Amino acid sequence: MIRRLVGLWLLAAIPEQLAAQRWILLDAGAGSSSHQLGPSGSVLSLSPRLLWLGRHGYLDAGAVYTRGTALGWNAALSATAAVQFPLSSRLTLDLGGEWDWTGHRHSKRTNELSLRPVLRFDRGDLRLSAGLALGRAALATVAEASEPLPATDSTGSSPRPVDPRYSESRSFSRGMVEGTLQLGSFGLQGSITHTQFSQRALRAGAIWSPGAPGVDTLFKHYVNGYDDLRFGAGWSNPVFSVAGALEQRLGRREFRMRGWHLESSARISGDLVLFAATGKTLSRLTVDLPARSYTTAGLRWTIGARRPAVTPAPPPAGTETRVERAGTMVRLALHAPAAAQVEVMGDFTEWEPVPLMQQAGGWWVLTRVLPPGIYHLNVRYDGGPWQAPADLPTQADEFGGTVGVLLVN
Amino acid sequence: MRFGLAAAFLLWAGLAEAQDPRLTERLGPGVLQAVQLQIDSANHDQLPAGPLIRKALEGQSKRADSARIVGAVRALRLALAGARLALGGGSEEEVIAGANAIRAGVPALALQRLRRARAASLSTPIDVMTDLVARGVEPSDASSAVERLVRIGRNDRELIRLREQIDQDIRSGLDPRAALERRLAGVPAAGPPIPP
Repeated sequence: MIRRLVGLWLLAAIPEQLAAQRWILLDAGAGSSSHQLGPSGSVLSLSPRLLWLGRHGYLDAGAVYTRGTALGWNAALSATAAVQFPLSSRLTLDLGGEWDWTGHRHSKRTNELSLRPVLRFDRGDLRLSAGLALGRAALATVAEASEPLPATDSTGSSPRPVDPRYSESRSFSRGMVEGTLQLGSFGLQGSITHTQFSQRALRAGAIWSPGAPGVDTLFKHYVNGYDDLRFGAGWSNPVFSVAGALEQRLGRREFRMRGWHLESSARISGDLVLFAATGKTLSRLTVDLPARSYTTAGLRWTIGARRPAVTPAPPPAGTETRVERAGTMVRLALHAPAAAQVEVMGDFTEWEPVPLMQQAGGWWVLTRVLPPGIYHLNVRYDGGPWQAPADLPTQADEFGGTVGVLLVN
Repeated sequence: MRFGLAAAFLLWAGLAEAQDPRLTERLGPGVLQAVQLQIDSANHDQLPAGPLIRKALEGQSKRADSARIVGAVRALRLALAGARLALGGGSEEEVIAGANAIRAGVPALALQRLRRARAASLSTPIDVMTDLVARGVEPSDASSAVERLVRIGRNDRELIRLREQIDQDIRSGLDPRAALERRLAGVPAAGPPIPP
């Protein structure tokens, strides 16, 4: 839950320039898993997620489905949505809701629906949020298919059926406060979560980001009587990423344990990332999950991640374009005496940047064989933004910029 | 399970083989699949696929998001279909020129009237129309002017010459509409009647 709360907070902290975006992520993985209390086995997992960020709200919906040879299946569905009301330049109120469903082949099912008002303060270097979750949770336990119902009680004297299935429903409330203070490349994070059932969680940490591509983190995590210390570090560039973490649980002897995590990824195309991970998780005592070793590999497919679009820019002063034709040869000449490099891309270059040849007098020239027709093109000077060449008629493209229109006859 | 994976791989391999290598090299799998659907539709309708491929590559080079790329390709496919319908078929060059004109704002009905006015290739008249619109001439003015010239039998060379004169006028500071009117001043208004 803490992770989800932090995730929600991070979601709302995404800068304004990313507003009105959507992503569809699909993780598919395969690997092996084992834990202290049960058999090892291979695991297949599928995790789609839809994330939509609008100017006045957001929706985050996802599912995780895991199927293992030893444990059957388990699944989780969740959706969070909110409308955001700006109360002032730094204060925002989120009014929304959250729905969670979890299920396991051999165990209990939970279903939670809650309203979530959250108040956020953002001063740039200091961000605080405080919120409530008020809802209702339903819990149901299902009988294992392989477990026959006993025909008699323990004494054997009076036969009576015992049905391990039961269900209950109850209201719940949670409160949380989170904050981040950024001091240059050093940041402090903390959160406190409290539920009506006397469960408290405190999470505090430091983040040191000495600048891309390195990130180091240190977290202290306290939940009802034990401490988790986590140290993580990572490195990434636009193609590869590597990250690792060590976790140490402190407290009474029966609580102590160590966990670790190692993951790497490689982007194999614009939308597709190959990832692999291995490690050992700490047990989650609050939800009765034992420690688990895992190894997995898979693909992450992201649809619709927005990248910076071309912004139209006026041609630099002093530029001039001439188009000359000799037979089937077309000579495109741009006058840009101040430029150190001039490139063109268009229909006739398969929209790949092609450098122009520098000539005397500040002219840059490209000669191509072009059949008669209309061609669209952009130029850029010294690696700047793509723009329509000076003197050519222009037309809006479909990508937020303009193109030059070249008529070859 | 194994059979399913093998079948999926073969299907994927078959699809990959049918895809244009320019697209497979430069587009991510998500947008590639969506663009390929548009191209498949164009192939099915016997529309030229080259402009669709180039439009997708343009979007990729400009780092546009997937939705914009697919939207642009789809809009161009519809423009190609509209141009072919308006021109009553026509050559590939004519259909591409017609799609460019429609994308520039020229109404499809203007292409239909142009086809009625001339049976020979319309690539150059349509390109001149698109060029005039890109220079700032209103699409309705550009289309009626070109139609008028075609109806009185002006050839492609004369249309190109007219376009160059208008270009010179605009460069010398004349308003695009005024430049068009100036160059059409001596052109007879009435042409032969358009056949139904």
